[in-house]
Amino acid sequence: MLHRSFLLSVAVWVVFAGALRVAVVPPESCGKTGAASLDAAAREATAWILRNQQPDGAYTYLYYPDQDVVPNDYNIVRHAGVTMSLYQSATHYKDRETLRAADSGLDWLIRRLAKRHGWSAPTQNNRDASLGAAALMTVSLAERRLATGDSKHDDLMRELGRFMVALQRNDGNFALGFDLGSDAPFQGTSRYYPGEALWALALLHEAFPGEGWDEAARRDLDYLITSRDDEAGITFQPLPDQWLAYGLAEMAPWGLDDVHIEHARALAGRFGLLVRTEAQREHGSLGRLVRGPEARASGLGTWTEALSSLWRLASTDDRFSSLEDKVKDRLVCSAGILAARQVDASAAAKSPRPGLMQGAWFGRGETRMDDQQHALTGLLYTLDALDGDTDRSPLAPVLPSP
Amino acid sequence: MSDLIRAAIGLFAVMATLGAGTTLASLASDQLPARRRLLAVAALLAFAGLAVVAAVSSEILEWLAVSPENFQLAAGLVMLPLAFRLLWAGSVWPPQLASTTWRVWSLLSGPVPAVLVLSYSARFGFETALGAAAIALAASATILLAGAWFAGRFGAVQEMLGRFNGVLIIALAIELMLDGVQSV
Repeated sequence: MLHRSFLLSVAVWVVFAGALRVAVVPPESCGKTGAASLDAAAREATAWILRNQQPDGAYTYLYYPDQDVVPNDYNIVRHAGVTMSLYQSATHYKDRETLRAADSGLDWLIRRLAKRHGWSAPTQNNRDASLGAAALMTVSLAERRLATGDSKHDDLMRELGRFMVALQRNDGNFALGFDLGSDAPFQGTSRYYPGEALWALALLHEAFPGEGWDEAARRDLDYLITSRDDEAGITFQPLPDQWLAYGLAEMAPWGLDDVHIEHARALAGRFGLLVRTEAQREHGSLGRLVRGPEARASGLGTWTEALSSLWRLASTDDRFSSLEDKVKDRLVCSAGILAARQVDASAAAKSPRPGLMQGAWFGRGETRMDDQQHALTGLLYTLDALDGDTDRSPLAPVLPSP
Repeated sequence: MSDLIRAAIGLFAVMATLGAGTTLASLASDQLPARRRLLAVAALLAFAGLAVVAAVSSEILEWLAVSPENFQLAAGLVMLPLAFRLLWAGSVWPPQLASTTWRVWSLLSGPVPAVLVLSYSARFGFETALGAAAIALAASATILLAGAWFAGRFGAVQEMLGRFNGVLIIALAIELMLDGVQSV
C-alpha cells in the first residue's frame, strides 16, 4: 500500500509539474541579443524608413504583404513619431543622409502648421490639431537641435510649447486637441498624449531653461502619476506608458519625489512582465499557444523604449538603482526579440516588393510605419545601454547644421 | 520584514509540521529514541538537499529557460495543493500513513520545500535561502522531536493548527505570485 501510495504521489507531482510547465512557465527566449545583431537591426529599420519615404517627406504608412497593397491611409501623430526616430538614428550614427530624410519629414509637418493665438500646431486636415502630433514634433525639433546645434527652429519649438500649455487643464491633464473650426479645445482627453506632452515639455525646459516649461511638465507628471490611471479606468495599473518613462528619466536630474520613484518601480514591473511573457512567445509554438499571438513591433518597441528610459533613471537615481541590472536584462531581452523578428534580406528577396519587406516587422498581416519607429528607437537606446551610455542625447552637436 | 525571516517563515510553512498532527502523535507513541535519531538524520539530509537546490538554482532555471520572476508564479501554485489539503483536512496526510519514515523526510524536503528554496535562492540570494532553510528545518525538527509534548499539549487543536498552516501557506503563495507579477 505504501509503495502504491508513493508511486501515486510521484505520478501526481509529475502531471502537476507538466501542467505548470505548459500553462505557467513555458520556456523563454530573448532572440538575438548580441550588440552586432541589435546594431544591424537598427540600421535596417532606418533604411526601411528612408527607402520608402515619399518625395514630399511623407513616409510609407502601411503595407499588406499578402495582398501586396499599400493603402492610402495616414496619421500625422505617427508621422511626427517617425521623424523623431529618424533624428535619433541620425544622431546615433552621425549620418547626414538620415538627417536629410528627417528634415524632409519635418518640412512636411511645417507645411501643415496651423497658427492661432500665438501658438502653432501641425494639422493633417485643417480641421483639428492634436496634442500628440504637437508633442512629438516638439521632441523631433529638440532632437534635431541637440544633434546639430542649429537654433533656427527655436521659435517654432516655443510656439508648439504654447499650444500644449494652452490645452493643459488645471489638474495637469490636457485636452486631446484643438478644434480649428470652433476655435476651441476639444472636450475629450487621451491616455497617451499627456505622456508625450510630458517628455516634450521636459525637453523644452532643457532647451530653454527659465522660461517656465518645467512648471507645466511637473503638473503633467503629477497628474499622470496620481490620477491618470484611475480617470482612464485602467483596471491593471499602471498603464504601460513609455512616454511617462521618458519623462521620468528626463526629469530625474531635476529631482523626483518618492511617489514618482514608486511609480517608476511599478512601471518597470509592468514592462518586465510584458517582456517575460513575450519571451515565452518567442521561444516557440508552445509559448504562442498558451500566451497568444506575438505582440506587434510597435508594442514591443514601446516596451523597449520604456525599459531604456527606466534603465537611465536607475543609473541616475539612487532610490531606483537596485533595479538597474534587472531592467537592463529585460531591455536587452526585448531588443533581442525585436532583432530576431525583423525581416532580413533573404526573406525579403522572396517577396514581390523586397524594399517594403527588408528591415520591417510584420504583425497581423501588415507593417505600419510606427512598427519601425518604436523598434528603431528601442534598439538605438539598447545599444546605448550596452555601451553604458547614460546620456540619452549627445552632450554636444554631432552633425553639421544643414 | 527581512528577506531571511520572510523566507524562513515560507519554508517552515511548507514543511507543514503544524499540520502533521498525526505524525506528532505517532512520534509520541513508541520508540522515541530511535525516532529522534531518525528525525535528526532526516533533517540533516533535508538540509543537504535544500542546500544543493539553492546552490544550483540559477543553473536549474537556465536549463528550464525560465526567469526567476516567472518561476515564482509556478512556485506559488505548487504550494496551493498542500495548502488546500491542510485547509480541508487539517492534516498533511491520513493517519495510517503518518508514521512512515519517508513521509517524515518528505515533510522537510519534499517537492514543495525544494521548489520554494529554489525560488527564494533566485529571489533573495543563496546565502539567504540557505539560512532560511536552516532556520525552518531547525524549527520543524524541534516541533517533531517534541512530538510527545506537542501532541499532549495541542492534541485537541491539532486540526485547527493544520488549517492555520494552510492559511499561512496560501498567504505566502499569494505574496510570492504577486511579487512575481510585479517584479521586473
